[in-house]
Amino acid sequence: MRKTPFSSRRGTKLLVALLTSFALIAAACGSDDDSSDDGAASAPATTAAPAAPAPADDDPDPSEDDDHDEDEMMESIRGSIDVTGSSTVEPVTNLLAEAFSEKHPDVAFSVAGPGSGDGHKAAAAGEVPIWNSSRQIKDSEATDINAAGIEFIELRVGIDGISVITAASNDSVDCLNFEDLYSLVGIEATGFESWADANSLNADLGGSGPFDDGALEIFAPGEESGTFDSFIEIALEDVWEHRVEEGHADENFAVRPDYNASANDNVIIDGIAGNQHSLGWVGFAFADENRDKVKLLEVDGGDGCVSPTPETIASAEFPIARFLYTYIDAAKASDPAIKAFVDFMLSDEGQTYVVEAGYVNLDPADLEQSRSNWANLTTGKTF
Amino acid sequence: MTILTTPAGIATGAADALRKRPGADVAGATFKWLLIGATVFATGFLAVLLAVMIVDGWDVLSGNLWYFLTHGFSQRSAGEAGVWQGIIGSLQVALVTGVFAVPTGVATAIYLVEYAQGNRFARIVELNIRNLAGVPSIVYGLLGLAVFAQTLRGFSGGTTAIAGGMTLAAMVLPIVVITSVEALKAVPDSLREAAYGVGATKWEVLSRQVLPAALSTILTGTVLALARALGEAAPLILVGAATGFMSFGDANMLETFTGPYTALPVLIFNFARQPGADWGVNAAAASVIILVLVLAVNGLAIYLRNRFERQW
Repeated sequence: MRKTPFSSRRGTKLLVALLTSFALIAAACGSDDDSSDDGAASAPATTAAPAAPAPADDDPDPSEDDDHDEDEMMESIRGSIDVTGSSTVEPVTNLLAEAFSEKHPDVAFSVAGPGSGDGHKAAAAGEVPIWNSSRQIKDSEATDINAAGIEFIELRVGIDGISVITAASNDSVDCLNFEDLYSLVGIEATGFESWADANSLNADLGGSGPFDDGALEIFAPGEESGTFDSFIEIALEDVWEHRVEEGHADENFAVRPDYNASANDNVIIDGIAGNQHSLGWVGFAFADENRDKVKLLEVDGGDGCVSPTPETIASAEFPIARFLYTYIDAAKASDPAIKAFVDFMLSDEGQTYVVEAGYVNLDPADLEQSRSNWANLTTGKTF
Repeated sequence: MTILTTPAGIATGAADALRKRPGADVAGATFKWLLIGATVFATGFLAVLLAVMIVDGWDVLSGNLWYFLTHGFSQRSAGEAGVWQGIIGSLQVALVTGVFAVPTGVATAIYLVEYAQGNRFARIVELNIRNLAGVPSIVYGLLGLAVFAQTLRGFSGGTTAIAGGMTLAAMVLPIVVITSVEALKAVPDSLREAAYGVGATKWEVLSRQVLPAALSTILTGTVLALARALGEAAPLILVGAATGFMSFGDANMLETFTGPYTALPVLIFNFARQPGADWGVNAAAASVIILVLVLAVNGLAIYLRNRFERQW
């Protein structure tokens, strides 16, 4: 043992001391978590009482009550909240976490957005109390999570709606279906410079064409954008995959590469407004704000043409929309920090951040369902 | 008449001699220009990269650099977002990486060179370590998640700076081992033999002669390994580094090692994927900051090497 290969005994002692201190820190934090869980479990009534009615019943004067609650919580709430999952939902969680942290600076926060599937996997490994998903949890994922001894509470938090837009002055088109969209912006539309170029492909696909002619200028988000991915998944994927199976389309790219891509929604709106026969897509909230410049087209997802409005999106009648979900480990729901954060997320104030992140608020009935799932700690798929 | 005493003088003299026979060394001249071309290409590429980043990030670097350095991530707007937590997190992760990678790596190298020299086991281990240096960093991320964050949860606290640092330690360990092995092999055997010759024990030879002699190269290698760790994003994202908002809460300095963490490269990844040009400015500015950080670390390596270097 005397021939220990470290350069000096002092170095060895230093290393041992460092390792020991890390082990002690880890142990101390572990016991912290345990004790806070125990404390919360033994006193669920006190934490539940002030917060549960806040979203629904305090309408007459919510601001005063909220302030009162915050002052109380500021001193009491400590703990740690980790959120992972969908990168689409991550901006909403970031905004919520930022506002929440200003009120409760003692709560440690970590928000990550690796993807919906990764979120469900992390949940099944027992790593996170809260995880987001831009689609409803799959049955197989729910089985995995339950098999790990974890029950989850399912909440809908908002809607990712996408508008198909053209210039406000364009009278030659009002409604497009998924086949039309693919024949205009899909991979097989590469090189089409006018609407008439798309007519033969459109006829092959059984679209609603022929289109009136006009120079086809396309403005849309670049491929780094979540809106780009969502549009492919919801509007183009079915038609595209069918065409790939038949051997007509490239299996790697769903969207034609020759369009004007921009990460800036303002650039897209200006491009659409400046070209009479333009076509493009942006998040609904942004298109809705610019109705004076752009025309929001109706979309036919198989059940007739539907115009995008907050109501048709919230009710899922408008076809290019998807619900955004947040899942919570039921065993962690009584943790004071997590309880306060989810209460805040479902409050009227919390729901404003859904819109600030560019998404659409839920239908009141859906929001009520989320709130009641949370209040009653209802586990499993409920939507 | 050229005085042929220094290597440079000899080279100049040789060149003079060749110049008397034009066309005699075409291959040598071509080779020289190829080397110059490669150097210009390599440095020019770096210079362009640096220039592009500084130009792209100029709005932040020239305007509100202090705000950018001292504030955390914000989703509200690019102008409100900063990299403070990323700088803290990168330093934390680098510290943990150093604590785990340097003693382990140097110890491994000492064993391989001084104790197991030449035996079959040492050769197999060394070969494998050299191959490990080529494993993609994302694979270390998977390893870190499974081993350091999940299996060793009781020690690391889950997906924390400790788990992240240990993951990067596993990643740079081969680099530390290889540079340390080379450093020890570069110590002349005459030094060891002389020490043994005056009756020193193996421990005395190692601790008084070989290690001090190899120290500067070992330090350079380990600091370069840490610089590599500072620039990694992919493994840390797998080991749960926060890509979005994070706060330390009321944790004290020690507790932050077992709480949520992030790192500069992870923040750059996040800035780069946000829609909007002003987020790109943030990404470029943060890239310049990480470059300055890595340059500082490399500068430290050069300083240490000069400070401890021995000439033979």
